[in-house]
Amino acid sequence: MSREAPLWPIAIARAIIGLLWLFSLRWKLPPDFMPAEGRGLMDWLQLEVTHAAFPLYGLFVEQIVLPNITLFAWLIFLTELAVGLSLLTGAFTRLGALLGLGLSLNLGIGLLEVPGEWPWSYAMLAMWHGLFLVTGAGRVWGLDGLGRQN
Amino acid sequence: MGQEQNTARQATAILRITLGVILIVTWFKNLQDGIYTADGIVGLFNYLFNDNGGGPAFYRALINGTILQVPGLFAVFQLIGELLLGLGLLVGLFTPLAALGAALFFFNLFLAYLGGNDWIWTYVLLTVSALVVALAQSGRAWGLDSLLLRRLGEPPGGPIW
Repeated sequence: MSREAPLWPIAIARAIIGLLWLFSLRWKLPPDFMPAEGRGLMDWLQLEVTHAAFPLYGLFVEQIVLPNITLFAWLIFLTELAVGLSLLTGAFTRLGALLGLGLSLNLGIGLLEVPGEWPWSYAMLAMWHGLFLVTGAGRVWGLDGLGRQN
Repeated sequence: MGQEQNTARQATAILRITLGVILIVTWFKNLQDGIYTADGIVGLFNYLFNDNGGGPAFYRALINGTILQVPGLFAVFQLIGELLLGLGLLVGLFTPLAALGAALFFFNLFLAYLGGNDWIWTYVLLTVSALVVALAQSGRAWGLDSLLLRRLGEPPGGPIW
């Protein structure tokens, strides 16, 4: 192995985390944003209100997000879809990583005190998006690499 | 590419340190909860397989036939192993070995929780992170492996630092 770090393992991690976002869409699919069974987006948002680690955040979800759930559900769905596709294909990866970082931090803040949630999951998720952001991870085994060659 | 690879190694070093912190924090919590005892190990797998409902059939059979035959011995192995993995990753010493060990440990957790109530992607994230840390030899940035590399050069018997 060379003295420099290989970039392909990060490319594989990027694609796997892209799949993570796409798989997570299963329980927030339009038009009702509810899965056939189990918790849906609305249930998780309710939990964020009930177990808010930061009162202001809980208030925001309760007063702004929940009354406009259709708008926010579409926003979340489309953003997660875009992040998932961006990371899976390595296209516009830095933008996808930036959006993914925001989503991860939002999840971490919202679910911090929800029983059964492990905050390290979201810390790691945020960290990975930061890593994709600084390394431009779509340049290896990704569409960003093709754009760069051209 | 050289600058990008350097950035990548430093970025994976942050990932390595985080994994080390996660393992050590969890180690202390497990120690306090009495997980590293024969009863603790039996109770843990009882929770995983029965209460949480995870673990495919082959994995349950494997654990029943091995670890749960000698839970006390495994508890000692786990006590020492988990601590060494955490310390190795935290300080970046023999990082590829420590990270591969951690990846196996996390993959074991993935199997144990598979099909259960937990968010399985947590264990995918942990396993992938440890593998990337191993492959990137991330102890060469901000880790003791960089000192070994400077003093001894490339390891003769394979990438152990």
